[in-house]
Amino acid sequence: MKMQYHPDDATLLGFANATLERNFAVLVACHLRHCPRCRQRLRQAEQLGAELMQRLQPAEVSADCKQALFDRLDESTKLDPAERSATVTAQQHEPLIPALLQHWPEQDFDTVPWKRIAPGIQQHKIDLGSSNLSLLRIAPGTCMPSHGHEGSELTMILRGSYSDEIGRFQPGDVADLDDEIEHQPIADRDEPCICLVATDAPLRFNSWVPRLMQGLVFSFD
Amino acid sequence: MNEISSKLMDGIETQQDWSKVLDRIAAERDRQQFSALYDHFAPLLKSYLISRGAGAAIAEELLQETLLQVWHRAHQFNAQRGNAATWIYRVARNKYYDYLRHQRLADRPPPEPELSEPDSAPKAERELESELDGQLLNNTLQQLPSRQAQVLYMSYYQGKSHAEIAQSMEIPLGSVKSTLRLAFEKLRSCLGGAR
Repeated sequence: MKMQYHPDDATLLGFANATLERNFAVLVACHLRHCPRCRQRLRQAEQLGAELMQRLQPAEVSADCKQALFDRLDESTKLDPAERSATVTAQQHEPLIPALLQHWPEQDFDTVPWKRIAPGIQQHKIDLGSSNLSLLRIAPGTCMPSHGHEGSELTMILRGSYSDEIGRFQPGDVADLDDEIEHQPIADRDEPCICLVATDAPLRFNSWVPRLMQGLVFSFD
Repeated sequence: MNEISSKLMDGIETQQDWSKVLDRIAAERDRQQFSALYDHFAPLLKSYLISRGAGAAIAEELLQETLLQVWHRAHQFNAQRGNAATWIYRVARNKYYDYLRHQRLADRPPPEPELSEPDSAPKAERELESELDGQLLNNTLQQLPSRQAQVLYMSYYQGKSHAEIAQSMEIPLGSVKSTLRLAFEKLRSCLGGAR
């Protein structure tokens, strides 16, 4: 997969220091799985994090902290985490990437329970708890309403392609947009375009008709 | 001196080879080596966790959890795949994420481990991962324009999102991202494996 558009370095830095909301983190992880260039940058961003940590003024650690830790060195790692600590538990992490997107290049998206939200546009919301992640299926040649953003929007192409003022986006490509960019994507004509969209604020549409869509496409319910 | 450099220690002490220390901890369960590693990292981890927003007591609990995991999983550390400090940093970052999520304060997941693993490149290329010019990095950090240093500080140390930084500095989100991008571009050349 040859990708031409990547997440902004600022976004990769945010992922490296765990400041991206879950929806953005999931989308970036889907891209990174298939992008050696961005994996390399992610590692550098983590290395930078470690270097910055080592340049902090060391804090004073209480005398019994070390003893408490050494007393625990012999405890089994299999011990129930809840018994070890009431405040911090070593949680079993579910995979960051939801099952539907784990193998997105080969995934059959026809079986997804799509909902029609506008002529030529279908949506499927992926439940991530508090943050917003949607799949959009855009019919060939469909023109999305021109819009800007109050916050960030990350879009990754899974199938097909679309073109806008920035360029032509193909599978794996990420459009990393902020509040200064307005764009009007048009799905290319050969096949439907399926993309993954994460937002953290409502889109800002430039005409009244799409405003009706606003609540439908990216509602924060 | 800009804001970030005033937070930095003067120079960085003689770099101990923490990778070798981790190897000995893994192979010999060497408590003396672990004690040295604790003495170096515990105050830094505590400082890092407090700057991210943990109270002093939580920071000590989390640093214990971090170093306990380092002790138990030292055998999983592979020096060819990065340096020891980066590995320890990742463990601490993930512990803090677990804490925030458990307390329902935030849900901002870190990368999964496999995304941080170098690709199956030739050995010589992989070793570049751990190469770092510490002095050059110090100099570059100290010469960062103050806005770049401030944004970097808020992102890494305070763990603020881009939107939170934009709000607190009263600048557009796009400026936060471009400022971070510029800072990273300069610092990247000091890090191992830069291209």
